[in-house]
Amino acid sequence: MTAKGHVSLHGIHKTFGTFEALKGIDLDIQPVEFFALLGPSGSGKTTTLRILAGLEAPDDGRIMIDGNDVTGTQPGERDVAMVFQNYALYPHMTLAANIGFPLKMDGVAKNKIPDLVRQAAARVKIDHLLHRRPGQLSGGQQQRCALARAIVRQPRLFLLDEPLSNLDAQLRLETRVELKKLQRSLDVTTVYVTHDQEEAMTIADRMAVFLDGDIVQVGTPDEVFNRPLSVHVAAFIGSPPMNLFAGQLEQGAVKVGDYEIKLPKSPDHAAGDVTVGVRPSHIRLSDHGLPARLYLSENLGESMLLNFLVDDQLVKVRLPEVRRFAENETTALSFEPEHIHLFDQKTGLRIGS
Amino acid sequence: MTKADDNTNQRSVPLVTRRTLLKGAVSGAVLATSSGFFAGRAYADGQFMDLDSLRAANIDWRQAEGASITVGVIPAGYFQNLETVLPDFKELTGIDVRFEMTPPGQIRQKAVLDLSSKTGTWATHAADPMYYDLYVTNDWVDPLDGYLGDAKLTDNDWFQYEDILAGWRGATSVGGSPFGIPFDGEATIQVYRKDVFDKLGLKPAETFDEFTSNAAAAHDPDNRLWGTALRGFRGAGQNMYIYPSIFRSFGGEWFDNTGKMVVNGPEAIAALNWYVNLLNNYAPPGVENWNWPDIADAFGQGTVASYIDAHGSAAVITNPEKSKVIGKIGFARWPKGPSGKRVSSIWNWSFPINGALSQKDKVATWLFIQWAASKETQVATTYAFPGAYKRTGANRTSVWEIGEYRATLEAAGDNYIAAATTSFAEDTDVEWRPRLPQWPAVGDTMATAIQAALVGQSTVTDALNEAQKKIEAILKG
Amino acid sequence: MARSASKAAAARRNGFLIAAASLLLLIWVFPLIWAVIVSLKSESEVLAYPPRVIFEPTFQNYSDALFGGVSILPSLVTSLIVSTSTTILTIIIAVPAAYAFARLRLRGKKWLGFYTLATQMVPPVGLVIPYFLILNKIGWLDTFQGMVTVYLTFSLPFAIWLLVSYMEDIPREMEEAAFLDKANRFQTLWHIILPQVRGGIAVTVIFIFLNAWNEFLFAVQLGGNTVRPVTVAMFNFVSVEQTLWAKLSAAALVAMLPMIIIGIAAQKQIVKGLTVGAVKGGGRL
Repeated sequence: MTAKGHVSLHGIHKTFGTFEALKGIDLDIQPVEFFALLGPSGSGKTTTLRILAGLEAPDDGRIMIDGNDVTGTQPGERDVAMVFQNYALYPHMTLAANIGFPLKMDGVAKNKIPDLVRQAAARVKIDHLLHRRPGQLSGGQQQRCALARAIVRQPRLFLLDEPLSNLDAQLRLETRVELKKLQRSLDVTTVYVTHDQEEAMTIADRMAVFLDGDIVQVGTPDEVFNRPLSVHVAAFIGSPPMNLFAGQLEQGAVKVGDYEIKLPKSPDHAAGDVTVGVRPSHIRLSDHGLPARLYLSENLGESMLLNFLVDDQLVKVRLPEVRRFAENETTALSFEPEHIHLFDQKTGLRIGS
Repeated sequence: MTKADDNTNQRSVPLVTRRTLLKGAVSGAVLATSSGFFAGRAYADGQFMDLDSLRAANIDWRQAEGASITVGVIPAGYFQNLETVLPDFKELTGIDVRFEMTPPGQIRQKAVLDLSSKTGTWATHAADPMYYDLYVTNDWVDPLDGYLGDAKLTDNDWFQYEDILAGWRGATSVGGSPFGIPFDGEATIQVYRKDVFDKLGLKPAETFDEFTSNAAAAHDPDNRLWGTALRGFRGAGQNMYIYPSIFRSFGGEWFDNTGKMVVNGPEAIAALNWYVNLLNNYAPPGVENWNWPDIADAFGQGTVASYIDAHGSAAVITNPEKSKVIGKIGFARWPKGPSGKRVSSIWNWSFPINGALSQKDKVATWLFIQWAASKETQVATTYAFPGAYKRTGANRTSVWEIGEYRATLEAAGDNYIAAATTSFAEDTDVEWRPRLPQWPAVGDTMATAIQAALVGQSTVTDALNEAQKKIEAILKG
Repeated sequence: MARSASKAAAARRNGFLIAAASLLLLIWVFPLIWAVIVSLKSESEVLAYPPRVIFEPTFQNYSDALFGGVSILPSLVTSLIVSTSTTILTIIIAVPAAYAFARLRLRGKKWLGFYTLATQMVPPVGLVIPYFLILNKIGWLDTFQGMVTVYLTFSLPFAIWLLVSYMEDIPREMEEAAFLDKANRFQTLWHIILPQVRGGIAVTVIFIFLNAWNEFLFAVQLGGNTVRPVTVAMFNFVSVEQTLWAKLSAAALVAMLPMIIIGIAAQKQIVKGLTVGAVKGGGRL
């Protein structure tokens, strides 16, 4: 049971007309993993999911599920279930019929269907709505119905395409938690597509970051957040994302403008131009460092987000407490060596560990 | 409703109730109840006619035994009567004949379609005499000289082709050769309200001027009585049914001495002026949309004092279910035009032989035509018909002379038979309408011009000049 | 105060709309009412002037039209066979075809609309001769299969075109969901697509049936004694001796019945179908 749902993609290529959606990606998803595909729109994450589902055929490459090559098989033969962004509920059927439809198509005995439907509906707490039609439900209820329809058959792979994006912010947070709980209790491999890095960070066991048809990093949320492998990932992950400065790597230190930060150990990299990344929460206001002028302060309630101008570059600083600031106030920004991320300025790749 | 020619659908016998249209074979029960006089008659072995008198013809009626032919006809009582007596033809010849009822507006198109594509669907059909030029020009139908002259096919001592009304024979011949055999037809006559005329001291018109003055005298629209009505609706068979007679009465000729068709000469202008003035002054409003049934219905309702149309329209105005003027009707010949001529239509339905048939089917078709046009069958479908509806458009002089036939017509009103028979004998005019292969287009063009003049869309002269131009273009091809 | 004034204005506006609608309805329905009245009169009363408002209604015309000497009953059966066959065949063929047009990346798809319009634009008279020759060649003149085939050439493009617009309104994901739910293409069409285009199918059925039922030109030229639909048979009352208005009206009303029955039966679906088309596929209809 638990060994079910091992997915691997090998060298998947896909073009639509002249647009190269996937440039040969490899991916390995372990059984029972909650795996997020994260990336901006057009990066290839949804295409990957649809190829996994069998809704698109790759131009090149192989798809393996549990050791079987399913590249050429029909969606229905893959034993996967999917929740669509717009839910794709059948508007002319009741919820019961919607949830029961995959069972009916699967040839499950008619008399067993109602029980299975009720169980699935109960898991997502819509068992009291079974006689209604999708049009009579709220967005959240529809989303649950789509979930129920996906889980009722107990597929070996569960595909979710931005399932929360049509919900309002409040509901999104609640559902996120429930979804994670549900996945844990079902023990089913789940592939989750989202463009919201915070959602991916909070919900996924591991994730793959997509950019322009390539996977640029695979890892746990921690790894991706704390050790972005490229300047692009660094700029994409985090809210707000990492500040990036042009700097010079020298012997035992890195310089941003006139501000020099000593490095505990010299990275294995030639001296020269680098990109220096620091997360907003890792920047301190102090009496030394980069001279900055406050451009705008945002009060977030329990913390503050300060926008400084360093020369002409906007730098974001997250402050764990709330204070009053006057606009155009000048100060200096400093950061600790252990919080610095260095990237090769040409390749954008991470320097050192 | 139908745009094309449906001149002749109104034939019926006076004093006939309308529940009389028999369709298909008449069962013995119907025969027994529908006509008492039938009981006294005994035929050798035919249901409707004495087959022995047909067998007296010196031909082998069974020479095409087993053939099966389809005949296109319009849904009209005279063809339904013929269909009813078909079993006797089968008995006589062993030939199966199926009638296909086709609305009058479409029968011409369908016949042309069939003939031009040489499909041979209709062995023969109820043909419009104006179409023979087209048929013959294209060799679509067989000349009938050969059939009439072949002793194996025709015993003319018995058939008596010359007994058929001369005008109708002329109308179905081209270049002196017969191409169709008339089955049923009509004459154009004057119909008037005897009571109204008597009260006003009027007499049926002898001349066009009198016809106008009669209409003027009887005209009393305040009391819902209009002076007269003629066909006003646009169509080759509607206003181009009545206008050609007027045109010819004014001395008009369709072709000048070089053979060119001329429709805008002085006689044409005078004729159309007369028609337009008469109708605009003394006809009910809306007459520009009237065809024969509208005229007959109005006369039957007592709102029109006189009209000129087919003699068969008596069926409507003597129908007790529809008419309020029974017993108040008089008939007269077409009045003399300024040229001194009276010009009746020579309208008739006739049967040609489709040239695309096999030899055997042609023989079968000819036998059918000969039988249908024979005196015996004419009698069996007119006064001797066992249903209440009797045809009134017999094709033969000899039938018109039979006392029983005359008796069935007599009740229509004063002078009915005399008006009809004199018209047949003296007033028919083979050049009534211009006989051309292009008649359908020419007829429509004239019809449009006449109506345009009637409703005042253009002057009489302009309308005819315009028509002349269009017709020249049509004839140029 | 202001509110009651605007309420009164609204009431006035409503009243005006109702009056206008009633007037339109009356204009539309007047010929029908006239036909009903005429059909219940005797022939002599039909032409009476002034028209009699009070008369003794008779059903004689109906019984004459249906069972009299020139009964239209066999023609009604013929019309029913031709129209029903045309409609059923059209739907059977057009539904999968429309589905294919709507979903598959077919070449020539964009020509469908043009072709459909073209078939509706060609004056039917121009097609009578070719159809006549073709049917004659294969011996299908005056046959049910010939008549239905001819009607299909008009009804199919139209039906496909109409149904495509309804099917395109269904989100693609709906089908993909069905595929993932292990439905094959046919099951998807049957369980997912068809129920959602019921309104469109109802509208299509009505259009096709109505067109086939009312068709006259081809019926008269390509039919005959075997295939003689009611539109042709109706002429029994027009051209036999005289126009029998009362019987003609009775026959016309009887001939209208199937349309009315279908209309009432499918009313809900049609309204749905039309509004869906109007709201979602408005541009395409």
